[in-house]
Amino acid sequence: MDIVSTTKEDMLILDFVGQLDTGTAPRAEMEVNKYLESNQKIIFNLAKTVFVSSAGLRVFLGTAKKLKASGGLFRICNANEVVQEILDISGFSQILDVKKSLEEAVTNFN
Amino acid sequence: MMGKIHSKKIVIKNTIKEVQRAISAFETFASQYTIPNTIMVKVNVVLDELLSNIVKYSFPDGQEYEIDITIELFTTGKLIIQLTDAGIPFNPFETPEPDISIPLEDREVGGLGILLVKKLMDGYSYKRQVNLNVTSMVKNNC
Repeated sequence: MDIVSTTKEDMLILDFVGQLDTGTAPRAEMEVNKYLESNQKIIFNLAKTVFVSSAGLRVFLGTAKKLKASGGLFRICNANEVVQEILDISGFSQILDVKKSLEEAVTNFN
Repeated sequence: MMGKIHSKKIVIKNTIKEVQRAISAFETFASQYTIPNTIMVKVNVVLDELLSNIVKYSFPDGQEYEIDITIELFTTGKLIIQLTDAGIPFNPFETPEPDISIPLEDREVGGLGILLVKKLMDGYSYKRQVNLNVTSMVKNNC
């Protein structure tokens, strides 16, 4: 799992490359936490994320909670078919701001 | 009569790092026998959930153990994966189901992994066989 960061205006886009599972989630969470200190608008781009297990969902939930508490904003985009199904099963599609594409995610992100 | 066409056995140690090795071994099996990609990914998720649970909860004495993974693909397209370990009795499917309707601030992740197993697979079971935990999952149309 690699995390690639890109800045667009006041938004930080984090690309998760690989699989977000029990083995990779702890380090991914540590990486994400570093960015949380100085960014208030964060987008997780899952275009290159092969799969997400519950350990990965924990990273999504933790990030969403921290940003909400600090008045920040959080979006997820580009989930593949199976990852979208996992977001639906877990109820995360209802509690997180999930967009189909990066283009949608960067639009009106206020 | 259900004929078995392909099978593979993988043995891993009880560490999270070894869970990744099991997932990679299954991916090799899946591509060898052209199991559809979406099914392969679902099985990967389920292997991560079940094996990491076994690693975390089945061996409280902290010793090194082995977990046997048997993959069987049948002519009907049915895939059966069986996980066997000699840890303490542990039925992963007894975990209470999470309430997925509560708001973000109060949500916890506990129990979500097993919910994913139940929803992503077509069948699942657990049995205690003498001193062994035997956890199985079934996926059709492979």
